[in-house]
Amino acid sequence: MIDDPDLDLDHQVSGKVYDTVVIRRLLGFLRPYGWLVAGSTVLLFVLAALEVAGPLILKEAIDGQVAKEKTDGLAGLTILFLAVLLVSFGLRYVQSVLMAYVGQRVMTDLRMVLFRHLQTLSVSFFDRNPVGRLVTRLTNDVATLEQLISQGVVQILANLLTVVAVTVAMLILDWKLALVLLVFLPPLIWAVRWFAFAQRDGYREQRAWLSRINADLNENITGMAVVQLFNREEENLRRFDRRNQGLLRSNLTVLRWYAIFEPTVVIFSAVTTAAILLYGGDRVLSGALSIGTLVAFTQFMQRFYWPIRDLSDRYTTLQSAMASSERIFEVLDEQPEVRDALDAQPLPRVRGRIEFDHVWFAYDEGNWVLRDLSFVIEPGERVAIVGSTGAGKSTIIGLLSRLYDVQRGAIRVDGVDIRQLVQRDLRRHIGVVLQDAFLFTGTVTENITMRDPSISDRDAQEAAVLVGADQFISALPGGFSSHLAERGANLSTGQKQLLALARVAAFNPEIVLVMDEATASIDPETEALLQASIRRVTMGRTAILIAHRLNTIRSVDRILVLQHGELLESGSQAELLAAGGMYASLFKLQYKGQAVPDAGPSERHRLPAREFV
Amino acid sequence: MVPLRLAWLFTKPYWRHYAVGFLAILGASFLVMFPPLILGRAIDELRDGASGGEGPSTGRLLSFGAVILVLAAFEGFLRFGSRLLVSGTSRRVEYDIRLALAAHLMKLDQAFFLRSQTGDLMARCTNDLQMVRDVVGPTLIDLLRTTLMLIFGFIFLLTINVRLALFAYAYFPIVAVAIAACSTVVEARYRAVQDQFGVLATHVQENVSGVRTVKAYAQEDTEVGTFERANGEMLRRSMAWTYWTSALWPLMIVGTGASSLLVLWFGGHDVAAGRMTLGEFVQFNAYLVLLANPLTSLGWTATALQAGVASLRRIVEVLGTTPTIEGGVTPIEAVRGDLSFRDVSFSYGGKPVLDHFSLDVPAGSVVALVGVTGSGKSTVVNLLGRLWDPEAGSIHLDGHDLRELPLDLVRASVGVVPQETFLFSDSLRENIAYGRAAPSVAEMQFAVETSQLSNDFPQLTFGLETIIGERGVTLSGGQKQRTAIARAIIKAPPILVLDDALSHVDTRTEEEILRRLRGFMAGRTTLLIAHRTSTVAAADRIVVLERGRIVESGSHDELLSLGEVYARFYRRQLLVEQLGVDVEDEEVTP
Repeated sequence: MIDDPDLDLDHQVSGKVYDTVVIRRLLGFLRPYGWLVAGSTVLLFVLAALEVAGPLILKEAIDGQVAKEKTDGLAGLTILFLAVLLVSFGLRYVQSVLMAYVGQRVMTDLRMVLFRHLQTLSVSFFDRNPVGRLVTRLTNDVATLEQLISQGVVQILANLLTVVAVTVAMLILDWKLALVLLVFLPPLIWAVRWFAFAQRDGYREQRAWLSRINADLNENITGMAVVQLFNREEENLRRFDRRNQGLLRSNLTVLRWYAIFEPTVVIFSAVTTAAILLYGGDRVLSGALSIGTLVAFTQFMQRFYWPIRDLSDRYTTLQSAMASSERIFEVLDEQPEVRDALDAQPLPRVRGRIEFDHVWFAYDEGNWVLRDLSFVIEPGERVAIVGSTGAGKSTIIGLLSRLYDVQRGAIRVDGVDIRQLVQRDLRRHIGVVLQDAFLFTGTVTENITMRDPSISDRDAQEAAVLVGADQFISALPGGFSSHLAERGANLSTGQKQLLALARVAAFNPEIVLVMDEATASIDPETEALLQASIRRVTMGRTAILIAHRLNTIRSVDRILVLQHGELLESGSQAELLAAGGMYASLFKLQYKGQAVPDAGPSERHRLPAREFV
Repeated sequence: MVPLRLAWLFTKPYWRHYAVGFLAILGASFLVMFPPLILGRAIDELRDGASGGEGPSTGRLLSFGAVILVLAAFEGFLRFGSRLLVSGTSRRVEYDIRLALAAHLMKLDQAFFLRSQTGDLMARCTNDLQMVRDVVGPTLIDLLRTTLMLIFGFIFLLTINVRLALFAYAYFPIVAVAIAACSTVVEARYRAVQDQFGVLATHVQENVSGVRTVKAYAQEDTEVGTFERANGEMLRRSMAWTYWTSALWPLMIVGTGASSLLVLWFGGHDVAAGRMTLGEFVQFNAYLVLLANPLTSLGWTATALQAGVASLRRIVEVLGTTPTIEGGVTPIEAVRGDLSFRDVSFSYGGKPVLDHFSLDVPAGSVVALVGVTGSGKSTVVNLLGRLWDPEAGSIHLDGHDLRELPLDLVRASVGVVPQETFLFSDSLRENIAYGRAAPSVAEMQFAVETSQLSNDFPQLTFGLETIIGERGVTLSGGQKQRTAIARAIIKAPPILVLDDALSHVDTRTEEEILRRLRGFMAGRTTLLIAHRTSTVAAADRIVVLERGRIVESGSHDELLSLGEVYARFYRRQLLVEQLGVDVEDEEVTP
């Protein structure tokens, strides 16, 4: 069927319109609104029954009145018809609103479940999944799903009920004539099923092509600089076109079935109408059937076939909704890699003793970042970690806050393996200042308190004063209630770092981890301010500093020298210098050549993104 | 109406398909008017027969049935044709637009990609495109069919009974006025929903981007709370909107029902009074039933149309963006590699990055650029590959302004190993041969050995055929960089640019790569950006950049003896590289 090497169906979505597993899970989301759904279904039953009223009233008008050239009962029938109309309008409105409400509620719930689930997932999941993809899951995919609930399923059910109601009405009215029509039902059902089946492979192929096209586009957009630098525009476009053509081909295949479906129903409808005229007409002539009944039957025919025609148009909606559900459930099925142990202990108070016990860690299998690393930091001790890029400095911070779990060995806080602790408890006692201070849209105060209800606005302001961030904050147009743009775009790097420090001060943790690698765009004044802030925030707490300024490093109690994930040296500055190891030799090298005043901030190596905590 | 003009631009090549498709719809909508006519005739004759007159023979009934069947066969054929033509064409239009989008994206400059978000661009190329495709396909068919059926229906009704026809269509203006009256409210509420949708999306975006911070502060619950409030607001707004829109569909049904009601009342009297036959009455009712369904689906069609136009506008925004980088026409036979930056200035986001930067790089020489982050080194590379153009000044290759040379020639002359490696999810071989179609075995061998990538083959199950990237093996940072180096080498460009290309490679491998590269670099112009002084020491000339200006220039030894910026940089590098420790310069004593 598919011989194109570009198309692999291995890890494709099923392409089914009705995947029972997915549907069952979706139904689970409907359960809380069971009563509303039941009520709506009852209304659908009533509405389907009312659908039948129109032709029946017409029959009565013809047989009882018009055909007998009477009009005395016409008023009554008209009023009845009006009543039916108004009632069905009311019910239909209620039913639509009800179902729309259920649809919206389910969407709201689904978004909530997804969002909650995302909060439980480990950082490694976010390393793998681009932000845009996750946003799409929570917004567009959920929105598509709403169509499935409020339009797809309901509409199909309504259609089905109408067909049933019409059939019943016809059987009651004249079962012989009805049976003549029902003879055509089995072949029709067979035809519908055959079409659905014939389309399925096409749809499957279509989805597969589409996902390849999207992947291709995504790659080209993100890597456009490389594409252009290597003059690959034409070649890549040619490849893209191959996939685009594949999609067109499968689209056209599916279209053939779609195009033939409606005409088939048209012909079925004509055949039955002809049969009614022939057989019904004969019986009218023999007086066995009233003209009104015959007319009613022709109208029933319309109401019978329209829903079936409609089905083919709903197909596409269902298709995309199913694809969206699959993608949503894929995220929901994602298991957090770092999990709280079943018997995880709470951590009410922390003294701040940190112990790395023969820790091995790799982001990728076998690529060890930390090798057999062991050290102890006593409560209240301030330690600096130095080492070249890739030595594993920032990994230590990620591991200590349990963003990742170690592969071998253990990390202990106050003697307890952190894997035995509730993650959130642990993190509540550890304050982290990240290299890239993350700020979100909201006020300055909200950015310091992280909207945590346990931290008052006063705390936030005091924290800001402590770290010396109050100066620039009060210079902002709205002070503490100034609004920050997305990612704090309206602040300088230094100001952002000050806010991050204020955040730590406000949370008042027992352990503080500071990632403070040099950034080029900080002016000397802010530099000095930042340094003082770091000193104040870490004072009296157990602190690990990944700092680049010798000044900061010298002020700590102990220095750990790391190389290739292994601990090379450890001790106070004086001890290390006396020991004459790597630190000492390099330090001397520097010392020898000092005498040069003024220098810009240092050049740094780029770290791979995930190495930042 | 620029979007509509664009829609026309894409549909124009298929106007014949559309024309024939429209004719088919016209025919089908016309044919559909006849079965009720036949039905009415049959009823009249049957009534005659039932009331003692001479009724239709079986043969006559059979011929009624036969005519209905033949009509249906024609109608079905026309419908099939119209769907195949119009919907099929809409698929072709979709294909064309997608290709045009992809082709246009390839032409757009880096400034555009910096401004836009990948997710948003993707949405335009997928969801929006689908919406547009539906408009020029199924929605168009629907709209046309409904319109034509309403017109034909009205004409046929008029021929039966003018007064009744006017009654039957009386609700039209009423419904139209009602919808128009509601539309401002509905639109305002819809906008409110869309706005909130944006708020939700932003919240998720921020939450996911800041996941490390959220986790570090154990603020998951607070985040959930904030999201819950925004989500609740979304529900409230959606419902406020739904209360109105939910009325639309029932309203249409009531409208069509009301016309049946009028026909029942007045038509009934007309038949009783002998002003109209029973058959005509039945025919009349049949038309109303026939028209009811397309009418009720009109609401859908309108929504799809609106969405389609909005989507088209988003696509037009992309296609309407003019690429700022365009190639010239002056050809050069063989590129020697003489480079000259003349008074080049460039700023990014209002901040000057390069400030009257002038530099001559003679063909075959090796020039190293040194400076702190943000001093403008990478900008030099980007300008050289014409990913951006300088704001002032010019860059010359062999004496020609880059902007006068064909774009592909400029880019073919420059082999860049960028700071951040981007590889494609394809085989390692395809990634290496990215800039050179079908390289020979020897060339491939040379590239992987020079870049020391060959050392990694034992780790890769399928060697060069290993699929990497999203669909395959994830390479380490060093492996990625080495792949990028191999990719630049195999391109054999006259100018080689290494932009911090060895930062993830360990020192020993770096030395080996540099040693092997030396032969390759002979006879090529090389621009070297590196942090490790060991890497740049061997360059013919080292250029020190500070805030977009050249502050020092000379050989390694010259600069060291100068004892200024580079010398300081060099000493500091030793510390930084080994310990990750930096020194403040005021600091003298340990």
